[in-house]
Amino acid sequence: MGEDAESPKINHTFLRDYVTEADVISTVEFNQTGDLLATGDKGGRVVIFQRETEVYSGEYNVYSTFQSHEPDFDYLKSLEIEEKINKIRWLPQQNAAHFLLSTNDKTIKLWKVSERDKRPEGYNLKDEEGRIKDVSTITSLQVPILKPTDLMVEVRPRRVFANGHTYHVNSISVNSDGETYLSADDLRINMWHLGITDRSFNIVDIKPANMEDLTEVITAAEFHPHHCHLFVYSSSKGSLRLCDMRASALCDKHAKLYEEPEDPGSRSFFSEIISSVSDVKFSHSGRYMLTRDYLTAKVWDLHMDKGPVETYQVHEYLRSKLCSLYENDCIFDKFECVWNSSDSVIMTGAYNSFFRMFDRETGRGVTLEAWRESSKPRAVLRTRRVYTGGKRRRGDVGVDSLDFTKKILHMAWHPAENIIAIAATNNLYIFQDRVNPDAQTQ
Amino acid sequence: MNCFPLTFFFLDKPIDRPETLSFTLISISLMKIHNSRTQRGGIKLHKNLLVSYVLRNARQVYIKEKYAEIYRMQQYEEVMTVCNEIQELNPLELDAEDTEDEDLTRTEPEPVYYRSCCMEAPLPSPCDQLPDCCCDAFQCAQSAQSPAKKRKMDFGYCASDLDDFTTSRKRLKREDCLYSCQDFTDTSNISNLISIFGSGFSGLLSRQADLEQICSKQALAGLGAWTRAIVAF
Repeated sequence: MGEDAESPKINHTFLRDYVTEADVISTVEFNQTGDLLATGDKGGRVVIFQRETEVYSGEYNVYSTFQSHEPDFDYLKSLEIEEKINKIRWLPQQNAAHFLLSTNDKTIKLWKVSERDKRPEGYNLKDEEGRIKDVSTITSLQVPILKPTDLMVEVRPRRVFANGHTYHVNSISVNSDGETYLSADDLRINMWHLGITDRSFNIVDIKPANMEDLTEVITAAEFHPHHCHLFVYSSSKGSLRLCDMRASALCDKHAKLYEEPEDPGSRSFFSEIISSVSDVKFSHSGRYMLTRDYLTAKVWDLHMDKGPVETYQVHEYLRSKLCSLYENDCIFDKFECVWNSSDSVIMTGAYNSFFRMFDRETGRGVTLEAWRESSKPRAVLRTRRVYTGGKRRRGDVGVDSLDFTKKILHMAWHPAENIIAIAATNNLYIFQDRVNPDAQTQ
Repeated sequence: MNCFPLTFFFLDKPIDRPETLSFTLISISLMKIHNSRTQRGGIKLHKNLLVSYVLRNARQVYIKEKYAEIYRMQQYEEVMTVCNEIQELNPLELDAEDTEDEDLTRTEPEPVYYRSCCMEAPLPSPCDQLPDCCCDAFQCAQSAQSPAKKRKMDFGYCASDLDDFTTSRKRLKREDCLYSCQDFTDTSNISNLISIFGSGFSGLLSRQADLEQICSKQALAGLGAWTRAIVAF
């Protein structure tokens, strides 16, 4: 599919081979209309982009930036708490203001993003500069009037949901009821009310009585897009558990367990690592789930728990490199995966600034590259190929030439249009499909 | 995280000796666990759990391969001994030797295949044929590399009698070298790490059945201390 590239909006100055750790983008999320795009980075900052509304297919410009989380310290355990933003989730918009949840390893915060384009003028007790007037000089009363002013975007923390998690928070998900959300760490999932910060309900607890018996952890969790009582969580063993909150208060017992039997012929030292699910996403329809493990992306039908209905090989050529990838820690990279708005295409990231899209109808995949040299404005992204044998074409990249430091872990797809946001280390790329700008329902 | 750029693709080249790969993976895994203690943000439970799986897998392969090697060596030695004796003896006494040979031959259990990431390593499990030799066998394995001297590689396996077992546990706790130190810069902290991580990871030992085929219970008890994993919370 042909796509045009829009120029990257941040970090135009290219730091040659050195990237400030704090600038590395750690999460990307569109809001429900797609007009706003939020990114979080390792330095605890959130940058919000807004789409130009006057122009059709407008570009995204920086709307607001704020420091969401600061480095913290757990004095009891003598542990430093990273300020890295693990996830951002937007709340459905209910009024003029926008709300988003951002989380680091321990604390979730609710932020209100509002615009101010008017200011009151004509105070009785203060002058124009804000200085208190001498009361004796006031001879008459006036009603302050609102005058237009330059647009100001204010971001204020409205709630801080702290001390809910002993382990590292990996997911947050807003419920379709608009009132609650869940947060998941390695061993527990809590449910919060957006208005209540001093308590949460624990709905899943897989911590064994004896930690020596630990065999799996929770890796991701998400509420169903339509059914407010259903949520799914994935595990490090590659299984998915669908839970129904109507069944009981504590959803340790799953309503449905989705797992694929292991192929004994492909067993290796790293079988457990590569089967760990790094991300799970419900389709917009709510009928399917998309999971990502180290080498594949899988589509699961909620009605079928025996195995995925579709499996896509993202970078199978890495299977023979697992030892090295284990040594340099790349095997622990957690790739995200996303659906397009019509659930007909899935997308996920890879190495060497490559990301892959798979058309579910044809089963075919395409490899694209998020790299500034090939991303001039209006340029069409050309497809790339990793050479794995056979006839070598010009432009093919050898497996040993892949740059494993350039990894595409985080990405987002516009909820209604064919616009994608790709985070490549400290750069954000926003691409739009010029051929098919609007999503087509199939 | 520590990177090993010089060995980026080293491990994926074919390796002649399978136990080298599993041994390397064991040392890398322990190093990762050790490094995670000083990482910013605290110990990552998920990552360390996965590392402990690799550790367990590598250990299983390493033990099996070692025993296979020992078994082969022992068979060779016995064959050579018999041959030497035959040369010296009257041919009429050969029946007695044959009987001894039969005792040594036992039905092999079904081989347990364990493919490394880059090569297959089908292995027999001869260990139930050598029920009380795990420690001796292990020491043989060490001595195979340097026959003259006893290496200081102590996994705490030695459990041929209770005293040895206790002694080896104490050695572990006293932060002696776990390995021959070529892969560690701070081995005292490694063994310290293992003992801090505490007792048992029986949840991972769902493959306990495999292990019990391989090792005697005594040796397994000694192994347990070494295979303990992440209980730091």
